Amino acid sequence: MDSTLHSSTLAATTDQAPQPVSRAERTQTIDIIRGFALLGILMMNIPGFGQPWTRWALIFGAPGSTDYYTAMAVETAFSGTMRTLFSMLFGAGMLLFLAKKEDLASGQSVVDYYYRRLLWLVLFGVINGYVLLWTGDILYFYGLCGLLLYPFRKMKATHLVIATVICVVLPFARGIQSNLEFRAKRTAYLEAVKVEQQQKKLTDEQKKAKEAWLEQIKWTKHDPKKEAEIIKGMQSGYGAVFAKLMPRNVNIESRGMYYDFWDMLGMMFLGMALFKIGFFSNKLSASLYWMTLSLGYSIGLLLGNIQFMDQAAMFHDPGAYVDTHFFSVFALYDLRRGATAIGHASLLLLVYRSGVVPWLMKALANVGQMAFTNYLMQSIICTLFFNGYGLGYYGKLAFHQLYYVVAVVWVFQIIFSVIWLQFFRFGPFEWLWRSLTYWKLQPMRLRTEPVAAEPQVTLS
Amino acid sequence: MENTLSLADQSGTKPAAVPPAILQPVARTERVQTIDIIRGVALLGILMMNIPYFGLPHTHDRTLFNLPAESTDYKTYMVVSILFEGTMRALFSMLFGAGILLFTAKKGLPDSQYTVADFYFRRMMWLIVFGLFNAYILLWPGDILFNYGIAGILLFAFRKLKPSSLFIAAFLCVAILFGKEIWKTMEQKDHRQGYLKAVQLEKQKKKLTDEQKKEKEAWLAVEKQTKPDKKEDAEIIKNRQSNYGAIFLALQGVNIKRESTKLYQFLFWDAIAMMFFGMALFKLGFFTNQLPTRTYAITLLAGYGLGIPLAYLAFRDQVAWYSNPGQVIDTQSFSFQALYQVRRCLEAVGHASLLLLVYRSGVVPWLMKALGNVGQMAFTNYLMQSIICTIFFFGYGFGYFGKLAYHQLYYVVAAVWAFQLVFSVVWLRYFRFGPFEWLWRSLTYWKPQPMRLQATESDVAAVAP
Repeated sequence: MDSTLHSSTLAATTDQAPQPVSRAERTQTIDIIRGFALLGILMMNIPGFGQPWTRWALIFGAPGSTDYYTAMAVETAFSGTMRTLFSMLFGAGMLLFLAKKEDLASGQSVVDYYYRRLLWLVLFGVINGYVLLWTGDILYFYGLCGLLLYPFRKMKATHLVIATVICVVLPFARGIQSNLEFRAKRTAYLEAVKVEQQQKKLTDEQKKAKEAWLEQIKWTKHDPKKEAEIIKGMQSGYGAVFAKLMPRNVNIESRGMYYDFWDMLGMMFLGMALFKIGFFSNKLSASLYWMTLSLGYSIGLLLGNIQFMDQAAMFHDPGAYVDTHFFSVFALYDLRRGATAIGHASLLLLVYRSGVVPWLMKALANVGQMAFTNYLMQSIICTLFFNGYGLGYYGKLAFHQLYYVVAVVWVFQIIFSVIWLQFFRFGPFEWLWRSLTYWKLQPMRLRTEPVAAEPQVTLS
Repeated sequence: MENTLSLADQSGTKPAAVPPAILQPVARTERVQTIDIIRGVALLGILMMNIPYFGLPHTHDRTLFNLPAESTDYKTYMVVSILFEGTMRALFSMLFGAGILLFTAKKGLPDSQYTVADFYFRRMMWLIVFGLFNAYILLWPGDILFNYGIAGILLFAFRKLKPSSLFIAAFLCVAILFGKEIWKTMEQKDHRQGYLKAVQLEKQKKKLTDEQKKEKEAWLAVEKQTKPDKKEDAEIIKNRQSNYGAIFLALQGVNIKRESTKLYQFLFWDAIAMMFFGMALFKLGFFTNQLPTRTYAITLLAGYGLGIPLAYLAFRDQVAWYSNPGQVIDTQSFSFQALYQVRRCLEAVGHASLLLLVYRSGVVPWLMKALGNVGQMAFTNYLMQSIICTIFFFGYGFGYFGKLAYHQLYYVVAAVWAFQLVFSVVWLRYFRFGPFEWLWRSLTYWKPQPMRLQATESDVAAVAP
């Protein structure tokens, strides 16, 4: 990496940092958080890999069961937060990349490489979606959102926070709007029911209103027919699964992108702001990290728990839920996940500082250094494990059992990353991505400089 | 404009790309003028394509294709479809590609803290915002600015490619669209087969399975898309004749679909194919009047000679499709409509060549000047078309929506043309840029730009985007 992190563009560097941290160390904290997020994201993705969405009604509908408690733990403490950390670090990584000096020898500026890198990322995302058949892919979205970040790189941290707020407020407003529409449907439904109770005939409009509400809440009831259909589809050969998932991929990459890019962009801005004040690079004082830890967790986990209980109530009886909850906590989704994510990051940084589990930190950093490879590897492993053209475990495991799979993948990825980086500079997909970006085969074997341990090495 | 347009300045361009036989060296202003002239024609021409969607229900093409061949509406539709459909958008996209190269070639920006790339991406993001404004606020769902802004962001990384590589990129985009078209036809054939089988079973009094019912309905849905639907037309007209809020709500879904799904599946590729092509042509000196007259004569003949017949065949195939889709799909294995991109690209090159030859011949300098002015204010004029037409046609304005016959819409076009020509010429006597150009620049540089025309010649040249 050519950049020092002391670049003058990094506003408001705190000087109370207890000890000056060497460059390698700073990068390491980012890698540790990234590694944590990478492993954590599988917790959120595994239901998408391994079970039909119809299962949620069963899981939420069985309070007291192992599945229910598993869902409670996962939803309360982790839902959305790993994606948030990923987005934040993506924003930070973009600043790291762009802080490189211009490569005058080749006549190409860093902005060229930046955009090429992102366009390749978009392509990797398309492959992850359409070829590896993982419809939960985020690379495509990150690539496209990243294209928008460049002109914001020199903004002050405060302005970036404002940009974050704007990105959060817009979906918040839309959430309120759809909540109002949802309520309107409920009201119309109740009116129609009342008319029916008076033995009167419904008008066409009233009939429609009644059906609209019933259609709206259909997902809260377990639908065994639909479930069997989904399982059958995913248990088939590659061609059939591909054809089945094709419309979903198209929808996610077009409509999903149009609606949800705020989700990522907002957290990228926040990550850029946090990076600029030295949060991720371990530059703040321990007391500050303690504060962000307690504040993040107390807001985030509290909201997370309320959200889980509300979800359960929603599954239990959507009508009663709407009638009794005027304000839905789901509207605070972004606040919750942002707060919890900052809590996670603070915790990791404090553990790192305390030096209690250096071997674990080292292993997480290795996982994070190969995050791109590990992310794609999760798609490869899980689709082959679950889909019909592989081992065909789709729909066969109980919800909590899916987390045994997660544990096995974690162990594998940690060991794999540690061993791989003993011999090579980058993960295999990192190597491919770099080689494509610079349009030249990159050195792969670890032989010479110790510099190679850093993820952002400049290439000559 | 800070940059010179000389090709040597396009870093990364190999000397081989410079045309060997430049007839006469063209002055800087002259070169920009040819781009402005072509852009002006494209700007005016695009209204020909957009007017039916401003003034009539979008379902109206089904009615037009099914009209008797001797009616004025049919004849007008045939001429517009064969000579112009898609070609003005193609020229616009090509010149947008050229504009990317012009803008990023700029040097020595006033504020050295930022690079050209900074201003380039800001510019594109503001364009996206203008596009949203055009679609959601001015209520023009046919907006292209949103699409162009996104395409511009993606094309930055390709600006240094050689013309030959750019041609390959354009070709790949066209190939993707061609493949999709073929795929769609095959799907329709499948639906048709399923339908025929289902009908046969029904004749034998057998019960259809759920799947067979679905197949049958799928084909019937395709067929329905070709038949005029008076009821649907009436509903759309009623909505557009109502107030702003009702039209806003009705068009919201259309806008969302166009800016997400349609963009992903078609509009994006449609735009960048021609942008790549335009970048390549610009690098060869085509738009800047740097090629010999003979070359332009060849491109004129080749463009029109191949493009117009292809357009005619495609139109004929469409007429057949709209009158009897079942028969077409049973008997025809290939529709010339699949060559849409090739056809419109050829015709667009023909149009551009014609303009450049007229410009060279010097026969109508006043017209060329006026078109150059329209092109210089293309952004303003484009948004102005949305403003004029929505106010003229929608219920919250004069409410002419659905009231004019198809051919009468072209009287409106002629009136708007005359107005925009006069407006542009007069405006640019007093100001450096069109009003929306000024706004766009001011937002991009985040500083109000000088507007009044007073200063030196070289500053004036800064107008070209």
